[in-house]
Amino acid sequence: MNRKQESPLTRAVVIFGIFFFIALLNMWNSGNLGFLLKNPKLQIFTTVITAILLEAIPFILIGAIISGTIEVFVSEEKIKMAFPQNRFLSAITGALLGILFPVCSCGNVVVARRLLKKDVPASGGLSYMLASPIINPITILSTFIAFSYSLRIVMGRILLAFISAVVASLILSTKNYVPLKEGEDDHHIHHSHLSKVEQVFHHAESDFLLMGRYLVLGAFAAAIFQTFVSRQAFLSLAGNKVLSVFLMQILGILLSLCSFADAFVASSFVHLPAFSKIAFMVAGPMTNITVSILYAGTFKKSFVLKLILTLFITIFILGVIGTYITGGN
Amino acid sequence: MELLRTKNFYQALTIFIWLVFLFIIEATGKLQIYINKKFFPFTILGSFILLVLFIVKLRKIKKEHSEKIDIISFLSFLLFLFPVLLATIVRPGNLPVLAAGKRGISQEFTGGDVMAILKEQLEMEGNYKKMNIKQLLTFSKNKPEEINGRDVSVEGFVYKQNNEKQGFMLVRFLITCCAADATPLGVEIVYQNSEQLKQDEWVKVYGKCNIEGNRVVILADQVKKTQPPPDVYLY
Repeated sequence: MNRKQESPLTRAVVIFGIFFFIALLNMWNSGNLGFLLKNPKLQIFTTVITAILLEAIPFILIGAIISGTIEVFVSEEKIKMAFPQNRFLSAITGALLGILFPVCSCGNVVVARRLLKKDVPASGGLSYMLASPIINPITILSTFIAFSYSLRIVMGRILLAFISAVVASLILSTKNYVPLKEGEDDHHIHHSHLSKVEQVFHHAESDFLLMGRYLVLGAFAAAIFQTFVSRQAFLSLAGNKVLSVFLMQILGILLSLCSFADAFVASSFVHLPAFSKIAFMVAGPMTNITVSILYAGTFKKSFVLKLILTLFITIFILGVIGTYITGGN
Repeated sequence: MELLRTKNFYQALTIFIWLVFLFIIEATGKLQIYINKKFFPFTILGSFILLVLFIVKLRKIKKEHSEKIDIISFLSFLLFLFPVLLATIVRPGNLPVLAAGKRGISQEFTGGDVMAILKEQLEMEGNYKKMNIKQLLTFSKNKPEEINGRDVSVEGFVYKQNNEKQGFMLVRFLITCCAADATPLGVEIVYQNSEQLKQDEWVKVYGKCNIEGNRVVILADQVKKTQPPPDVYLY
């Protein structure tokens, strides 16, 4: 933003932008924009994007504080000791770690990124990131309540999430390596003059500003879908057992609901086979638009594509097997 | 003026804008348009963390030389600014009736803490048992004898699908976490003068409750226009 580099065009755009903004404020204040602002689609879009952000930002911030605390106060050796070095056992440990640290998927990606930067075994870090939004006490309880204490649905959800997370993390960590993107705090935080607590907040700020922008993009995409596409249309297509698993996975991805809430939405799909609803409740928290865009802020692009594809196929195959074992009930 | 071209300035401004936005939404009671009340403490905690991040950032600006803003950081600032500007300009109210149509109205309710709902104390409004749509649907599934053939009063907004002349659907949104997961719950109302009612209008219905198969149908004695209640959503 050096003054010497500012072209006349840039200045013209800035001046036009200021005038446009003032004109908009004036129209808004005098009520002339009412016809546009009361448009139901704009109202739904604004409500949904704001709601997703207001709900998720506190969890991103909590995740960022946990992440900063891990970075400053917990040594690599201590974290490594928490995970077995065997890839398979590490993946199992990671998948169950959410029972101790119930953070929802948005905050969880921030924590998982920090764990992977601290060199935890890749399979453990990945399976923690994928499974913990589902295998944690709050999600398990909400699923239990949403489905009127049906142990079958709760166990189905836990099993499908656990197996999918372990399988995907094992497939994607064959060389005990995941290609992480570099964050600002990897280079720019100079600690010499800062107290330990200040260092925690500097790391938290860096995580929040990095992941927050991906969260806004994700919320934008989810709000577009919720405004323009009908849930009803999806449900009416889901007549066939196999197709219903596939479509419910897609719906879970597009709706981008929080894992603490999605069971209540799934329970309203009363006429669908149980495993279609379970696939919806597993694919959603692991691969929904918002969380996928957060993955894109954490890992390299090709890895994110592999991750989403692997999860989608694994959940689909397991969902179809589950549907046939239970007879589609 | 040099400060205005630094990355630290725009990062501090991003945190400040969101801090003020959260504070205004919390202070004006608008938060309930967006999220379930049980999540309010998390939003307040989020505001507190943002306040601390802002103070620490100001200290950092004082202590450290900051690099100049680059295009990615500036776009990131605009991205954070966008939803705040949008919500400020549009000032959304409750979810409009269009959202009910897009999401599909559920006439069955199987979720929720059934035992707790069945134990709730119901007030009487004259001869009418005062219920909400969630309670009606829960009773119809689990204790139909308690409501079938009884007089009830129930509140919601009007949803007319195909310009029905003999009735309409009475709807309330149920939210678990936030407005993104809002599910419309509805009961059918049979009412002779339904053409006098407008789409999305809030009404209170007094009438006899009938359970027909899996559906709850209310034969309305009276339909009164009303203002939306303080809690527009069911939780």
